[in-house]
Amino acid sequence: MIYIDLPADLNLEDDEGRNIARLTDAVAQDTIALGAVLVAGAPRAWSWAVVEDVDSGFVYFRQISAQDAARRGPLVKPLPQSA
Amino acid sequence: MARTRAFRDEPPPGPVELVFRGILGDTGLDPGDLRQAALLNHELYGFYGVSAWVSDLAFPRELLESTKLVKFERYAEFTVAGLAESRLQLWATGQRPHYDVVYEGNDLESLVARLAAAPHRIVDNPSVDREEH
Repeated sequence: MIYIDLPADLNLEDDEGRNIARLTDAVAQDTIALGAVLVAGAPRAWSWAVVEDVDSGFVYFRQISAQDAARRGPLVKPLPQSA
Repeated sequence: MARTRAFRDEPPPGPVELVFRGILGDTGLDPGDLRQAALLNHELYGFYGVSAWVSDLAFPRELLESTKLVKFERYAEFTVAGLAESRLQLWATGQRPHYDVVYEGNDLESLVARLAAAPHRIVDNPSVDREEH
């Protein structure tokens, strides 16, 4: 099962062609920052992504390949601590 | 405060053009997913809209399957005429070929119900990119 960091609808694009999600929907909000690499989407439609902006409670990101994601850092991350 | 959305000044798509929307889950065109999409669009841009892609000569189905829809295992296929019969409109928003499906009254539940009930078929995407995690 895929682990989604940032639930998002990958159909939605802004005027610059970026995808958008709510910051409050992120599994670990403190990890969402400019340049962060994460998995965004839904269980049946997800992508590696890089965060381009966080503004007024919304996360703007672009889809990237797994190869690109791997270049930017390790793909295997520790699971977040449960509350 | 809602952001300003760019509206493209271009002729509306013809009635036989196809409209695609990637399916998020396992249950086809899920009203819950449509509602969440419309709500997020309202938070961002001040109107209830559901993102979709419209094909034409410049953006044929095969191109959309391998670009905008490439992460979706399945997608819903409508026609412009079918949406219009459901009193749904297509607003040319953002960058081509992105559109928002909207209901004339800007009513959330009417938009969701009409879009979920509009004639459509679910298509397996032969170009889906199932990247390894």
